[in-house]
Amino acid sequence: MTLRLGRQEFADDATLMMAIVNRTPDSFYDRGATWGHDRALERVDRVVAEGAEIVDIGGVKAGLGPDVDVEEEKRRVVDLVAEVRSRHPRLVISVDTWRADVARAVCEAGADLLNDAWGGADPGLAEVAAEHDVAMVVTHTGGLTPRTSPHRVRYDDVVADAISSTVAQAERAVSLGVDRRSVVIDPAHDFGKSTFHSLELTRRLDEMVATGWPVLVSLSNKDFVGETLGRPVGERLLGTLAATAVCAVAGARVYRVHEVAETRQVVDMAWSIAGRRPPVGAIRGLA
Amino acid sequence: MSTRAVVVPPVPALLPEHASLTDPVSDLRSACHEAVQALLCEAPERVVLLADPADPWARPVAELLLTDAGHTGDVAPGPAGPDDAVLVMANGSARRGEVSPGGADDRAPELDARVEKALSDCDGAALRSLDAGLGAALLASGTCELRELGSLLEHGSWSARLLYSDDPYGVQYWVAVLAGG
Repeated sequence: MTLRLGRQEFADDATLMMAIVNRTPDSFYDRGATWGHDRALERVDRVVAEGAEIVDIGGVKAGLGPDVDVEEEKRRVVDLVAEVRSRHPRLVISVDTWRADVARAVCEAGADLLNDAWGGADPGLAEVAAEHDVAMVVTHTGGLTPRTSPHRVRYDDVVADAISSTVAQAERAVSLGVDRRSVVIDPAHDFGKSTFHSLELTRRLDEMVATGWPVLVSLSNKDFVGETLGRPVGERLLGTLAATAVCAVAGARVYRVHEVAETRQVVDMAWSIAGRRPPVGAIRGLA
Repeated sequence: MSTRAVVVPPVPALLPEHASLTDPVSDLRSACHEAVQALLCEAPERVVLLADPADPWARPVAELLLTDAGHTGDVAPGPAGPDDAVLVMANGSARRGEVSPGGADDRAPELDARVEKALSDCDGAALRSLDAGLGAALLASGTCELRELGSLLEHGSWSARLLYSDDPYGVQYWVAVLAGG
């Protein structure tokens, strides 16, 4: 099925790079590198030049940290969305927020996609998506409260839980009026999960793909990579790319990433190994 | 004079299962299509296919080109009669230089030049005298079939158009359209 993300449509075999743009002073990976409005715009221009189809603009650090209220979150992201919209008319603009009030403001500023990274914590978000005819990412957090860390989480079957939760959220969004072609499901590695849970979700990602909903994976430099390899933030790219390749073979469609160019190559290679993408130019042994 | 025979190379990169995002043999492909369309312009009921049985790609490439050009009739093995439309699958040496699949062999340029001149001149005797053993040693395909073509060219009056002659990947390809008979 065609994937429709606001103004843009993508074929059902297309893979998409969603570049992370943090309008935050304290996100774990970039530690405020794109906190300033101009720095964030430069980051957008750079990832577009690297081939990202989507930018995911976030105004609130996912992890624990100082409170960011609705007004402050809007101050951080709404004007940025409007400016990115005018600079890059064909770029898909996603906003990472769990708050319906913020979602409404960014949709009015030109957003195409709401990334509900906290698993439906605010049920009003899907209504905003329907109202503005934008797309949604629905995620599995195991019911975790936004901006809290998992502690002694236990699932009978984490993959089954992720599927039932995200599919239910997807169907709810459609029932509220969101276009069926505009809902993406995300198992949300690390969110409400131990490293073992995230490894299992990666290993069994094909089961999520088999639901028929397009799958987004957000793996980039996360703790499950760091804990698996014993590597701090800043030394997790190779582990991220290995997990990316596994998810690509399974059929994930959207990759939320810090490193666009590297991920694009890995996904293209894995997609070709899976037989879904022709080589750029194959003549070896065929001349 | 109408087109009676064409020569195209059995290049596996032409097959759809080997398709790339950018076609590494786009010029060759265009020339092959043009040649086979010329061969089929009078809608022959059957096409005689001269293809090296030792080359596993010759027949599938021939069938692809014929199908793409709209041929729905028979594809018959040789020998070809005087009124037949003839498709010859052949290419020159794959030992032309360092980039060639078979490396370099000093004898390759001479053999290739000889075949190309014979095709251009419709010189049946020259084609008929090709050394099949040398062709095999130089990884050419269809040398025996070019000899068969030579026998045809020795009867009647012929003219040739060479639509393509190049070795983009170290293998000598020709696309030739031969009219007459």
